[in-house]
Amino acid sequence: MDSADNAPRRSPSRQASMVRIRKAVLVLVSTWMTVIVLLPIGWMIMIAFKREGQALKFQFLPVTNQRSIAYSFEVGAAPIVTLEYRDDTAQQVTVVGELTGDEPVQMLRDGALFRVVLTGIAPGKRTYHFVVDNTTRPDPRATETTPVGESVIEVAADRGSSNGPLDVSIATELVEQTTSLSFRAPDATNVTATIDGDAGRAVSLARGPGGTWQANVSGLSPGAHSVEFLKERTFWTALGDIYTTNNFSEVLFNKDFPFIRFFFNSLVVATSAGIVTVILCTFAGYAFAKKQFPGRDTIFYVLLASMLVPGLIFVVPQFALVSEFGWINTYQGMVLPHVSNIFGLFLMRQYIETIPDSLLEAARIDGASEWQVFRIAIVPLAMPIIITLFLITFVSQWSNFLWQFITNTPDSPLRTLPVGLNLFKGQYDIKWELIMAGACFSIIPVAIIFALTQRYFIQGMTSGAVKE
Amino acid sequence: MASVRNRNETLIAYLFLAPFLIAFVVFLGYPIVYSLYLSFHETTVFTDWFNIFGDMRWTGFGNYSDLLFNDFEFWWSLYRTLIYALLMIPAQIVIGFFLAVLLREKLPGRDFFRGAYFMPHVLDVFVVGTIWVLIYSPNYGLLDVLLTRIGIDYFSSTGVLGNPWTALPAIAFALVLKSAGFGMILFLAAMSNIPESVYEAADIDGANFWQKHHHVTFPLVKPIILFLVITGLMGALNAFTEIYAMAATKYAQGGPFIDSFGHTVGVTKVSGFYLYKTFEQGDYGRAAAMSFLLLIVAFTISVFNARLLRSEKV
Repeated sequence: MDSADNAPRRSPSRQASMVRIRKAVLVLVSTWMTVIVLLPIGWMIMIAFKREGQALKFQFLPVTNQRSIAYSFEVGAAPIVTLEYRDDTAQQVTVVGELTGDEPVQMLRDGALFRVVLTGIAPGKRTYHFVVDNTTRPDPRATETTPVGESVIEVAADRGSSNGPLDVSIATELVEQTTSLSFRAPDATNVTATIDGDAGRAVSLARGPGGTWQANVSGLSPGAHSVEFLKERTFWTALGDIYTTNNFSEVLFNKDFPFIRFFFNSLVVATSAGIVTVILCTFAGYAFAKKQFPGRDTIFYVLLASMLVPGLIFVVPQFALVSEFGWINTYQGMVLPHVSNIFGLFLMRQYIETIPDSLLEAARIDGASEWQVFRIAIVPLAMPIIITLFLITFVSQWSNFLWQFITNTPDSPLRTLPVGLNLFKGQYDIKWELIMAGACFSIIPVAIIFALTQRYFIQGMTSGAVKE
Repeated sequence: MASVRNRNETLIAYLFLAPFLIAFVVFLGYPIVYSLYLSFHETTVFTDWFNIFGDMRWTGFGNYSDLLFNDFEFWWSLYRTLIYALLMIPAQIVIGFFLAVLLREKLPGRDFFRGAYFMPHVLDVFVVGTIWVLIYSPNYGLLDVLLTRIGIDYFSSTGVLGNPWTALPAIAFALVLKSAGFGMILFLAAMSNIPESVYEAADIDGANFWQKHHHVTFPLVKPIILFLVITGLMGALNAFTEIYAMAATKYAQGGPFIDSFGHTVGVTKVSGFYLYKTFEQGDYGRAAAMSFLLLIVAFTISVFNARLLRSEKV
């Protein structure tokens, strides 16, 4: 684009706009790359906030205006029986029993609400039960239950019957022919009803007690009618259909997989590994950088060579060692095998070498002991690299899955976050919203630490590679 | 007088060195030797959890010859490791280089982009792998939903990770996205050593965007590419966690499985994962022998790479 050969005589303003367009394109590309690279993290956070049963649905924006199905009713008909059942996950609900003459009657579904209207039932007590996706369930709203677990309903002769208050109730007075509509929607800001389709009558419902909305309609002709309810909610209320913050508290205080404990364990393991590694590497780095001693080069090359050994090779013998020490299910078993970090040693040596010798000599002339020289000259000046090494060790041990996995038995109280998440995943393999909430506890702290201390990471990672 | 001072100096140096060396000898040096000892033994009867290594029998080179000559799965796992490395390393280098070139431009929000690209590298492999399992899931996973919308329902029955052709590439893709930022940082550091004047000179000579990077940037970042190749190969040899996170269910580990030369083998069973499985079954001697064979592979790669680097410099 900015090549000179294909447009030798370009006006300055055109060139400036070309530069601007080029920049805009590059920013767009960068933004897209950010989205792709951070996709797993974004996806994790979103799923972690989803409500149970919503995690696997491809719905992200809430529906503020919800239209119900058309409920049919009859003006001037004999008394009816209405049954309702609410279930977020059920696909199909039927009602069976004495009430239906032992014939299964399928209930009409409207979102999570299943509803059926039965006609022509003789007055008296009748028993029934629900079949929810092939499982038999009693009616939770029934006030009376038979010893065998059948729900009981009292069918009245002169009015509509139901068990408990109904979510959707349409009742017509036999004498005055007034139809009273009632629709339960505690979270709605407004509810309207449309009778007999769009060409029919629109009725505004008023808020009644207990989260119900009510209206009375008179003058409906005898015979069949239908009614649809339109529920309006604010955006934030509707958001609650899809999202919740409960997943986090559920995994934090889970009885078998207490993520609060896992989090603490990870914190202990990563922090202590960081501290011990930094101490050992600073000591040794100082010795290699500023001291002359026999065997220095030999030791150095042995250490260098051992860096070529793939880490996986140490797993079997280290496990043997740790179990020999009786360190299974202990913090020291998780931490100590990884503290002699050779990469960290090189990082420290390289940095301490840049500290001028004259400074150390000056301190010695002032009468400082060897330890004091280290304390007052080396440590403060090496602080940036000490922080770098601590952070790198912290995040790498925070995520050291394999080692923490094999040094902890499945019931160990010292399980760390990735180990706990692995066991949790095995137990709740379809509850993705909980798995992702657990994942957040591992990812988010490291992401925050990284965001705050980026330059230390970049310094450490690059000086490790470029100078070798 | 001088010798006393020297002796003192030596003593002090060793005192500073001691904690590190002790930890090194106990937890890295001794294990290597012990591992060699283990590799010549085999487990007999499984005794108790805290004394598993107490009851082993000498077999000489039995473990090695068994792995090399009788174990199809071992060779298969090496083959899968190679495939994994070939899938991962070039992509990681290309994407890392691309990101670095992008960030060399003085764009607004450059620091933010740099942080965003690099961040996944420091995150937990197991947890990120778990998130990808969700994204790759059939029917409800993001990828399958998007593909189904554009008319591709090829993955709806098995999922990306359940298909023998796509399982390993899918894992490699997740890892490439995670670690591309690492390559980018190294490329950026190397490129910052290239003075701006070199680019300006190229501009004056009429080099276009691609020519500029091909002739100026690329030769100077070659050592980084070699470094990424070797760390990538080591990463492939060490690959365990991502496989465990993404290709191991309660029922099948290292799957999906296919038939190859009359053996049923898992397409994601790379050598690191195979080593873990051997270890998990309590076959410690065999696992140790496998470690040493892998060490030979790693060592060969390193020596080869060192040669390559040296020849570059001449």
